[in-house]
Amino acid sequence: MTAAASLTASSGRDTEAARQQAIVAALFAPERAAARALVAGAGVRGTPEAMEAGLGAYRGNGIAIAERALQATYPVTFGLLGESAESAAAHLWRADPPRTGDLADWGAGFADWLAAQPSLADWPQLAGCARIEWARHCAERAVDAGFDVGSLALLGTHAPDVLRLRLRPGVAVIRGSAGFYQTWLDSSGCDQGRLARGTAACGVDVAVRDLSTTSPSGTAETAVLVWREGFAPRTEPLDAHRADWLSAVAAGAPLRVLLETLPEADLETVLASLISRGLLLDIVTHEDNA
Amino acid sequence: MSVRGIGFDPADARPRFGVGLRHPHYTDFAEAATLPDFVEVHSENFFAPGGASHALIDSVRARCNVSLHGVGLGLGSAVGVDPHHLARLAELVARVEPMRVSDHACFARAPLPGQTVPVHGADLLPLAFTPASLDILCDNVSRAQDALRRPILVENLSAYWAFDDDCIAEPEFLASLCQRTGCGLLLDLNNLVVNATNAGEADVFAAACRFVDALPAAAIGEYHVAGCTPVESGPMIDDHSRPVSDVVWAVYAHALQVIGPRPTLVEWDLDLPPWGVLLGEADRARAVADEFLRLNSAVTAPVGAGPGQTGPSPMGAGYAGASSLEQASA
Repeated sequence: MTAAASLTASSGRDTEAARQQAIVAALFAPERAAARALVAGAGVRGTPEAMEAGLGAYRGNGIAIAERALQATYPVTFGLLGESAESAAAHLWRADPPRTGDLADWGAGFADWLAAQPSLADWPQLAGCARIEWARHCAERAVDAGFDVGSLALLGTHAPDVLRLRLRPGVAVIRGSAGFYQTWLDSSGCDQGRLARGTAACGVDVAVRDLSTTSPSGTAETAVLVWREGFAPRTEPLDAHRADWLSAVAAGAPLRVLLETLPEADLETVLASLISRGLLLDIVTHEDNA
Repeated sequence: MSVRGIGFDPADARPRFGVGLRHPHYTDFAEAATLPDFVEVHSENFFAPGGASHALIDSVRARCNVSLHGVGLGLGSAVGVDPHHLARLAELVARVEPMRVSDHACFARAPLPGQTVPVHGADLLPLAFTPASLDILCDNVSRAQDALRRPILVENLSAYWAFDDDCIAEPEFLASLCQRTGCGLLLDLNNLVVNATNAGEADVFAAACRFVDALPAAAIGEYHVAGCTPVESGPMIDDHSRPVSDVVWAVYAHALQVIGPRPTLVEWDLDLPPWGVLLGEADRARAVADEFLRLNSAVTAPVGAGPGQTGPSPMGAGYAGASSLEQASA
């Protein structure tokens, strides 16, 4: 290729890059007028009406996709928003566009976006519901991994200072405003009676209390545990002590520190509970965890 | 000549007919006594690192041939394809061992003004038909094929915009893509009808047939047929929400004459009908192809022949596609 031809090819690619940037910017522009101006610079052929029709088709499709994606990931939150849900989806779509071609990756910022809305300031539980649902979504898709039984041997060969517990992928401690779990539970289509009978629809565990409790004072929970059992995401409330302890595990605190605040009488009991419920991935040394 | 690499083996004279398998039909599929020849799934729906989707696609694959159809690579994106997306697709291909892997002749990724990290438009955005756009598409398709270690099919688009500086006819653009990269084409006949309709063509059928006539027959690895919502005003949207339209069936019959039988997939993505209705659409495609084969059994042109030809590929001696496909499938 001659230098001149190379320059032309490079220029052509730059032209295409600029065109594509203008079109993508038009798709996510908050205002239709701004979108129209962007597309005008992309060299769209035809009448203004044809350009406008195409713009409407592409922008409309984007919003429809956003609604479907959010509804799939956040069914409870989406339902709580009611008629505002479509508008919320459109705002989030434009404020925080997808970064990948897998729409299941999109929407992580929904809870923060809800929390930042002045009009929802008196309903902080809503963002908490969204955090629960995003955690459940992530748990559903998390890497399949069982507990490494062999790693228990490290407890006999290493000091607690250098050991860490690792939670399975998808295990998360979610915190929210008082009552956020109850709000989510009440709207999730799972009535307490069914759950108490052990049907555990939607993977909500209110009858299982070995790691979870409502607070003794009766105040509403401010933390929940999300994990996956089989293929089903599970959710249960946590008291503050257990939430802090599991958060410390997730943050990689040394076993020595964890031993000082065990949520059960001894480490053996705690490990047995974590393992039997599918929360623990393995035990590793500090070096392995680095 | 074999084009097995793009998922179609001309030595296998029996056309295959499939349907898109979407979430609401998973149970029907699992319980069905009769299955289509193959099902097509959207690749991105199985990109999760773990969980139920892995078990699901394994169970589907255990019962039926699978075609992986992507909607997110953005093969025409000037910023390139997302290596992470490509890696996830490669993992899925290795897991599923699909009959075919396909995506679209579109772009999807670009940075917003003032940013460097691309966003994804989550749509099949139209390419300009320019030499530079073709260069970009060829580079990205080659990169994808290298990563997947197999040829892919690239689908023609239903587009709601064209561009002032378009200077290559779309069939020629797609033919050049195949010639330069060795990929095949997934010919979506409904997209031709949608584009002809939105272009205001007086004879939509004739316009779609002209497009078919201009394509390199040897590069076609699969047909898509579908229906979409009729419109009274504004553009027709390719929403795959209806039975295959009469005009698409007519274009399909024409494609059988000009290109020949190929694996044929009925797409239906919105307002899904019962599973049996969907299978009925695939049966109709089979009936149309069977009728074609019955009438033409004595005079069917060999695969690779273009319209009115019985000899070499209409792409000429310079066409590297078939040989590269053979290498890829060796």
